[in-house]
Amino acid sequence: MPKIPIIMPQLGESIAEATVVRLTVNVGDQIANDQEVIEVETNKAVMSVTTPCQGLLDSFTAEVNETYPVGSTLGYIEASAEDVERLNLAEPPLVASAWFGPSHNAASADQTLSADDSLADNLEIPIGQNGAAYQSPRLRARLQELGIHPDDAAVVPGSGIAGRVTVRDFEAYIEGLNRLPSKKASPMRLAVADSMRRSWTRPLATLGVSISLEPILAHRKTLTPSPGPALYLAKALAIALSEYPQSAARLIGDKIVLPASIDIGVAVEVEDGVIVPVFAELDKQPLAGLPGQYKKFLQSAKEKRLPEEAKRPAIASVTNFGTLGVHWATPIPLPNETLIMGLGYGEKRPFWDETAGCFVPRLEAELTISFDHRVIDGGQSGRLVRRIMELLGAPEGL
Amino acid sequence: MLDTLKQPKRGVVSPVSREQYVDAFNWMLLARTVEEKLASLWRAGKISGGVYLGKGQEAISAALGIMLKSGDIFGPLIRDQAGRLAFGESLIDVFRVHFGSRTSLSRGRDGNVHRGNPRGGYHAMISHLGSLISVVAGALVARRFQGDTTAIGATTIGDGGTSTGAFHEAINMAAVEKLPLVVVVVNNQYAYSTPNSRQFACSDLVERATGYGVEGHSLDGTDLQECLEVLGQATQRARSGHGPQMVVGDCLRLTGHGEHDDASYMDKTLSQTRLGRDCLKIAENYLQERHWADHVLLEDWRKNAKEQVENAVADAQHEPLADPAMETWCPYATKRIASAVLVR
Repeated sequence: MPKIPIIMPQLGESIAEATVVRLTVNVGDQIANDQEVIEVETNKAVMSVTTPCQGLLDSFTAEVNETYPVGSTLGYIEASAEDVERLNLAEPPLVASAWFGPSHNAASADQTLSADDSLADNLEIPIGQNGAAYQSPRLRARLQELGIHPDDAAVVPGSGIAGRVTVRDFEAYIEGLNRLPSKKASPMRLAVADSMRRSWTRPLATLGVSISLEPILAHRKTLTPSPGPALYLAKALAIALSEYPQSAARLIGDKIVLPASIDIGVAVEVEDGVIVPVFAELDKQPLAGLPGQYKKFLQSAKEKRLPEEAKRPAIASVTNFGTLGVHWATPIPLPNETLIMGLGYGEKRPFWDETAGCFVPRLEAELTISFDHRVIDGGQSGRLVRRIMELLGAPEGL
Repeated sequence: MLDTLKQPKRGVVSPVSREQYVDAFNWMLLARTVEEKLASLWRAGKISGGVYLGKGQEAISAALGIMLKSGDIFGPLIRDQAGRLAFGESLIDVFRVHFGSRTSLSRGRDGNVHRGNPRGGYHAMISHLGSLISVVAGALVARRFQGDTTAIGATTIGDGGTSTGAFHEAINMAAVEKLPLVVVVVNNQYAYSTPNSRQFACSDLVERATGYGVEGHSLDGTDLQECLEVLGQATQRARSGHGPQMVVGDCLRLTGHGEHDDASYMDKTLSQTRLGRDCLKIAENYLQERHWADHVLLEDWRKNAKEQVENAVADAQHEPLADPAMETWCPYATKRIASAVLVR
């Protein structure tokens, strides 16, 4: 005869477990329908557990004075085959974890209900509730369970009504991912990802101009140690922003927050990420002192241990993507910064020399500015770039 | 003073017939049997979420249910199993919703007490007490717009629910609109664990009827005979254009707020008073006193109720449970949803 488990019931909406106080029947007893067999105590009350059907009490697996979580098997009742069939007790009750993966329940459900029956009577879906843009509470709960950002689920094609991503779609996606090689993301990668996500909440625009690197190259030969182009750019940016601090202002609520000091970051590529050491009050520091400081920053950045003074939040940053051989890019300012300037790969290009009346070779690179368009407009960013070009054209003034 | 406030109280009351009494009694008996089974299933771990029972309130609920006709509107509360059945809810729907079946009225989205079928004029209970009165009143206004002059609406609320702002707003509006609405206030002495003394300061909730400008009625909720008489009259007056009727029935909740609640806070002496009587037992005695039913017949009815319940439980357990992966989770009612599901 089939054995049917006696289950610890959910004795209240906030109850997760209960303690067995007393077994009120003996093993071998004939148990009637709805008969109470175990007394349990929750933190609210003493209550009795019943069996799912009549039968012979086969065994208790629970012990008195022990505490069991909701859903635990407390014992078994030997039921007649007819009762098991009549009350459909052969299948264990569906628990939350069984909802995912190959569900026997879905299969049996489909025999009695057509697919259409499940689709909210084929009723229309309100605008904005379609496709991947909509995540059901169930899907959101599952994402939370897995520690996955909602955006990461937006890449999954949905097979649900109106192209919605069902939990099953998502599980299939995860199952597919599990078959691919993967490794744990480093804390650095996760930090960069989080930072970029926060930055991307703003409308960012980029514009760029070609500049001549000749004056910088000529000037750096006069300094030992000689600063790299990124430091020239950082210094020029610092001066320009000290003149137009509103270009580096942040929009917080209905306030334009101006910077207290001109602190400029310089992006440094490190293993598995980017670190941005900050030159404090760069507008007031002489250019000649920067290379030494930068070298120290670089070393500590590689060790991922920046000195305290280089850790303060910058008001703007500089990135030299030219070192990667890249001409043009649209870098993303850090979440607390309104703009980032980029410098492209320097190369000789023909330049029309008006006075000589001919093309001359000139070392040029692209200068880009990516900015929060809520705070500054094209005109303002353009003027900032022109001023920086002017400063870089006469580096002895830096 | 109180007597005038409670007017009109049992003016010309048509005597309750055996047929009507037996009918109501059998709904009470079926509701009690259903609820005992629900409690047992809950304690066997077959039902998740809460189970809320109407033990001690079946007489009021059943009497209200049988006074409603097809085409009327009903917004039951959590302790209205008897009224729900009398209004036409099928037994299997009770168990479907408690098991979380896909076939249930809520398609398994919501459990237990929040079940209804708006198209059938049967509105799902709302846990925010008082709101249901507005829903039923609104449904009556809709019927009025449609030219329906015969339907009445009824809803139930507890003593605690009368302290909500929603209760006040809804009754006031219904009174202004002279809606054919019957609001049954079941004073079971406790709002969850809060006794009457901490709930309201008037001596009898029916006094409020005068303030709202609606007709008030009182009844002893433990006495089916009186429930039938008074609710018969109240529904009749609502039906014949006398505007909202407030019926206050006194009884004692003979169970916890829900099955998870052992009601240890209740005043034990109350169960020794007239209020604490079990309406089902009183009705059984009455049936035998009037020779409307004997021991054998009563036993037969009990057996029949049990059999119906056991069959419904067995059938419901063969039906598929709701599957969140297959759900659409659309919480908003669009115009099309409203026209397809909500409006009769």
